[in-house]
Amino acid sequence: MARVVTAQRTTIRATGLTAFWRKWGVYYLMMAPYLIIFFVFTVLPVLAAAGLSFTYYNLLQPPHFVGLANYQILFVDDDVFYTTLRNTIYFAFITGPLGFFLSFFFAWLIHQVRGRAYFSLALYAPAMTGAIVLTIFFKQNLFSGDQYGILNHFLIGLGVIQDPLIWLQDQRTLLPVVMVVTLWSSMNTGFLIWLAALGSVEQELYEAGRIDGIRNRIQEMWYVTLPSLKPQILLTSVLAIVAAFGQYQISQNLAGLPSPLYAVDTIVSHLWDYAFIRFEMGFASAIAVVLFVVSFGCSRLLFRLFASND
Amino acid sequence: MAIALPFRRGRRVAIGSTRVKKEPIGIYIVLVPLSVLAVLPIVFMVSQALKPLDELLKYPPDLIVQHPTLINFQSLLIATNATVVPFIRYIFNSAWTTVVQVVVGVLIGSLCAYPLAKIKVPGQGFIMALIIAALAFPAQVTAIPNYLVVSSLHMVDTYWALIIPALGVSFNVFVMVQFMSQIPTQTLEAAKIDGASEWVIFWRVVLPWVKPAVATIAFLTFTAAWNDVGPALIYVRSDAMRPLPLAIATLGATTNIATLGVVQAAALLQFIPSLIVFILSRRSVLDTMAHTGLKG
Repeated sequence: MARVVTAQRTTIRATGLTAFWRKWGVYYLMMAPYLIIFFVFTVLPVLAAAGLSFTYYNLLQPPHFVGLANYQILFVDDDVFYTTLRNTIYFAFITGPLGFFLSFFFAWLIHQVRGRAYFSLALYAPAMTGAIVLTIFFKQNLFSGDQYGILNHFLIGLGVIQDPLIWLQDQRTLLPVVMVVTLWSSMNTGFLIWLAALGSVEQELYEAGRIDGIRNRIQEMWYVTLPSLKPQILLTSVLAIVAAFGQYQISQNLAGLPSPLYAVDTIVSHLWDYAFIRFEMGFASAIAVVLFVVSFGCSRLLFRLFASND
Repeated sequence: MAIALPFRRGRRVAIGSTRVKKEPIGIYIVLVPLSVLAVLPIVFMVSQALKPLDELLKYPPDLIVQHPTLINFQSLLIATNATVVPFIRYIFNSAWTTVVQVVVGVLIGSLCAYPLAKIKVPGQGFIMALIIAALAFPAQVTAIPNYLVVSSLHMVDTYWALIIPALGVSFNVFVMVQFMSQIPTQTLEAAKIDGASEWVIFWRVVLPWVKPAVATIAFLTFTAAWNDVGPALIYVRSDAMRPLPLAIATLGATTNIATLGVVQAAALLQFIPSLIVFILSRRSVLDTMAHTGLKG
């Protein structure tokens, strides 16, 4: 191939694009179907949402530019926004990390014993049921507001309370209830990742640790297992926090939209309200942008914390 | 003083010098009740679906059904009640959109992942950065613009609206790229020397190699597509296009005696395919996930 004569060289230079296509074209063709959908429905919408957030758009008339008005209203006048923000932060920073630790902890427990297949199936089962099915059980049976609800029945029988609590209407109990239900179904992708990853740590590291004096399983986990699994920690924590920020279905199914006094509404519930009930696309886009910035910011923070520096 | 014992792959061995390894009972004491707790609502749901009406009305409700019957399923599927749409239609809607999403999603996802993982095409770094960035925010951020695109393409209230935007998630491609980067380059080189075109290499060499990852993506896409109502809530207008979870929600919205058992039966129908798919793909899923992580 190096024997190409000068006469050929001019031809190649003139047809640089064809050469490029000949070399890389087939790969771009392979990537095209996915990338087109990815750009149209994931990448560009982020930019579009940012653009729309500076407009007033109610779907009936074309959008017209209003500058920062949406953001002004959102941050200054909208009290409901701050309630939903507070709720979302509860979910993101309590249920999220808790679910994350529990995923790891339970996967670790399962890893120590036999019969892993059964335990992992049992603990993963809730995640497979999906929000709707969850709701039927929790709404109608466990947390039902009359004295026939299982929890009420139980507590009244124990004498803890006299009258049945309306779990799903009382804003004191709503938040804990939604958190519990979220936790129950939070053993999902992260859990699977942990189950698999725990089996992939090299045995030699454990041996070395033992020689260095590690006495029990807890030390083993802290000094050997966790450091080896930093990539998994980063991935699962990002997934967990992103899922927590995107939470709205459990709240909506259990408590309705909007929930009593907005007690368990999240940012996404707020977005939904303005986008698909009131059709104020501009304002809703501003909420979407805030959601994007907050969740993306937290993810970057996690990157800082857990990135492997090798 | 610790003795280094030889180990067998995948099994843990002795901790410390004198103790022979035995799983501490303590762990079982935690795991068993936990598993029971996790499974309890599901067991209850199965029971409820199989209960005849008199047992359903019993209070306090039995955990295990006494006289199981299939009558709830019968009423659900066979008897066409007052509504115009037979229930089977809802099941079909869900099944169709799910199958298409799984097949197409796996196909275009692996097709895209192959050049990203093994061939360093120009622009690859940028694309990978975008894909990872897409993991860092919830999909709801894109809900509004997606709706605008779909409605301007006149796809609202069609199967397309439920399938196509959902194909834009990046987790599948991400997992696939990670898994594919482990394919030994020699295998690909060998195939190229034998004169295979890239497409043939993809079909005959790459895909068989990444079977666990394919199964994993299929499983994750299935679970997401089968259970998620988000897109349906936005795009579905007519009753006939509703997917199964939405139909169940409507059924279960009011608690009345006539539909008690039927709702539970429908919920069970929703759950069982997920269970089957998980059991079938569990091994592959764990194989794949072992190699997935973010270096950051």
